[in-house]
Amino acid sequence: MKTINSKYVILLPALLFAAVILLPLLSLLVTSVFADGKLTIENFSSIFQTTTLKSIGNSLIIAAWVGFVSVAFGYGFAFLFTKTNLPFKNTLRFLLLLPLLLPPYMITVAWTDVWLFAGFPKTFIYSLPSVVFILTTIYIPLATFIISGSLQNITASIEEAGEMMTSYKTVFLRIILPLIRPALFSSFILIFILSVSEFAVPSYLSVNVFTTEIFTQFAAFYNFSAAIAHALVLTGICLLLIIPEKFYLSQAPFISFGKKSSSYKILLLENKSKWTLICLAYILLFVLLPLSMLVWQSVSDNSISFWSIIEQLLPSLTDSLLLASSGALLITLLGFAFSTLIIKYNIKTADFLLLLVFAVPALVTGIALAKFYNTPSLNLIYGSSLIILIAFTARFLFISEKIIASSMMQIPASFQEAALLMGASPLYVFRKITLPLLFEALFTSFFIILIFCIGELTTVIMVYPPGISLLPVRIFTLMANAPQSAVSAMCLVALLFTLSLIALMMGGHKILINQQWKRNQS
Amino acid sequence: MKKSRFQLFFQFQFILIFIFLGLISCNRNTYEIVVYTSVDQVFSEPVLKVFEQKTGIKVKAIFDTEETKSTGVLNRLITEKDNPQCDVFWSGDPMRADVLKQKGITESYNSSASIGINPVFIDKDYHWIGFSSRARILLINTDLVSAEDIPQSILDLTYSKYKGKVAIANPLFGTTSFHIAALFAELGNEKAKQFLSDLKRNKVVIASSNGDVKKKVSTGEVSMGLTDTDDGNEAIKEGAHVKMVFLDQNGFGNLIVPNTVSLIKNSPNQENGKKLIDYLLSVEVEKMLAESCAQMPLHKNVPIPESVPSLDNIVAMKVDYSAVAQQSDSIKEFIKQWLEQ
Repeated sequence: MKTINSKYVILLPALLFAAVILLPLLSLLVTSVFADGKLTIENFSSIFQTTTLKSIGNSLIIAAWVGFVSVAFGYGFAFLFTKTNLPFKNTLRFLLLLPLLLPPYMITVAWTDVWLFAGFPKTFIYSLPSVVFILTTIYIPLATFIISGSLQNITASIEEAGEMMTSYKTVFLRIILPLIRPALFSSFILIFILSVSEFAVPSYLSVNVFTTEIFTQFAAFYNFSAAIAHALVLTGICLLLIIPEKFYLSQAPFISFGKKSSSYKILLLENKSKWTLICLAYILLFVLLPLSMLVWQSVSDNSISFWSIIEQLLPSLTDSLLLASSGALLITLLGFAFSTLIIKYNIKTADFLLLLVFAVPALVTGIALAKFYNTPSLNLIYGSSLIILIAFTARFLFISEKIIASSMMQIPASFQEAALLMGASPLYVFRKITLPLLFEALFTSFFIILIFCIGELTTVIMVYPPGISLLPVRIFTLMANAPQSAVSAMCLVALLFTLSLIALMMGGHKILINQQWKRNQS
Repeated sequence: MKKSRFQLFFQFQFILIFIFLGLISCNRNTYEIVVYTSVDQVFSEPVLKVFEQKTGIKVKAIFDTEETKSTGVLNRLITEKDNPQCDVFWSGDPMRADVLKQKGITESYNSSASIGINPVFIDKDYHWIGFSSRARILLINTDLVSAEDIPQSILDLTYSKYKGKVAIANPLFGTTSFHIAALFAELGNEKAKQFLSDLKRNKVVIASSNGDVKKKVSTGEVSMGLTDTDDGNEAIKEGAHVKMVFLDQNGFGNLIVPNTVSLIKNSPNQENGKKLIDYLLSVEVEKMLAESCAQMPLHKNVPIPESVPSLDNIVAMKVDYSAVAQQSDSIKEFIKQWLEQ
């Protein structure tokens, strides 16, 4: 009886999600297939024009290449950072992360400036391969972190048992690779979706992709219905990729940052210096080079002081921090509720719905929320920061659920069952068993979502209420006509802000884990 | 029982959320105003701050961004039509203001502060009123183009000697779209289409924005580019070796692009909205914008820095702004195809 009650308690947030986020998206879908009150597919017909098909082709080519190359490099780095005794690997891993913390637009500006400075031909700079290159450097750290999580989950005993029978090469091919295959596949899908929805990078490099088509319909023709119809096609493409994942990898861990097996095998590298140098060369060439261009631009103009930049950004730093931390907590709580529904109660539809919302392009989510909530009766939401929390939830709940669910899957049901049999109440079991075991995943979810929320621009730009100042929005609005030196300095300030948060969270993580460890000891 | 840090951490977050929800649930104050603006934040924000200081009315602003190609606030206004959140729309050009008029989003307000402004810059139904203007200019990199090679007409840009050396921003967006629409109105459809085709054949470089045109010219990536006076002025302030050229001074004239201000229909705070409109149309604001971004005042006798050109010294293109805004709609499909060629 008690179990049934707890199921309904967990269902509440799921229903809330359906009402608050799915309804606006559904309502938008309905408006796109109706014109003047009649059912029509007119908005979809323009998809079959040659230029549109070409732009879809460009999007798919870019996303596929970025996905493949990012996963290949991500796997290499993940293996070196997780499974070997590579020196300075934590520092290298941290440096590798940097491109993910900057707006893609700014990284593109920095790269084009580097290439122009080095005298690269314009035919290369403003081309599809350069879009692939820039997006790959941005998403390699994402693949690295997802695959690292998966490698950490392989216990040493499995590998050692294999090595007693055969060579490490065979162990790798027959044991490790199949075990991390879900992570490889999932990081590819995640990066594919993020790349196919990317607008700023191809737009800056004048490469016509499907998102620029959608944007043109929306921003130049003010044709919302056509823009939404185009966006639905993009969502459909993403879903086509997701469906195999649903059948093929339904129970596999998708993202598992932080959570690690108690002992995973570390290989001793034969030539540590060589591998360290390779990693360093990559970081110097593909991470620090564009960053140093931003630093050079920001210090080359004496009229720009970092203090004045911080003063300009200060209101948005506080607003962003407050909203992002509220959003991260809310999303983590919802992520926990959804993980419970999916893992404990085996409600797979919930997983699919989250994936569906995640696959919707950010701009479309923004339009859907603006159209749905902008009514006098819902002004309390639309006119306040609640709309931003909803936008964050729509964008990132899927990621939180995957982080928590992957950890939840590893908790043996017998732990909770034993406690219940001993007469413990479900709440007590939750507090004393489930929460401590999930703590790292919850913390990781909060931290990762916080970083994502701080950088989110495309959805919130459509809905943020007047009087609220968010960091990425402020940087983008100040970009127009601000000198390049000031824009570069702003991006560096934003990067330092995010890095400070990461440091704070890492420190907090250490204290909390130690505290938990001491409590368990006593 | 002593609480663990784990519990404290989550309790602290809950407290944060509730404080935050408390803060945001406050209703809109009647002593405030909401303004949406497509004018660059670096220039518009200081003006709004002075208005706040002078009147005590709190200004809540939504600024536009490069990423949304200055159409973000316009789309928000269209989406919010039935439940307006905004009181005043301050546009960087008349075209967007006219789009809102056509869609029934703005309403008439004939501000007394507009006395002295040439009626050509005022909508006949007072849905928008122009003030401080920019001009479309040709920004020249003086290291790459000699004085005798500087084009004098926009039509000269199709000459083979400028092949691959000219940049313009995407003509579907921003002031560039307005400029192209004005050319269609001035030259007629056939001639204007021919001009664009010739420009394309001459390998014109399409930049992502006017700011990008400025950057491409300043860094020497191209020799010249069509952009706005505020971008040109910024490039000069940054020390780039560039020069602004007003085109067609012996012909049909150079396009002048005024800012416009509109009152939003059924907006929550119309009285404060009217106060802001009166303020934006004042000589004081025109002087501020002349100093900050070289905008040319539409009122007479506004003191301006020496570096700011005066409208009295420029041959302006004769434009019916409303007609051009409507023309812009009809040529978009052609422009899209032109871009895709």
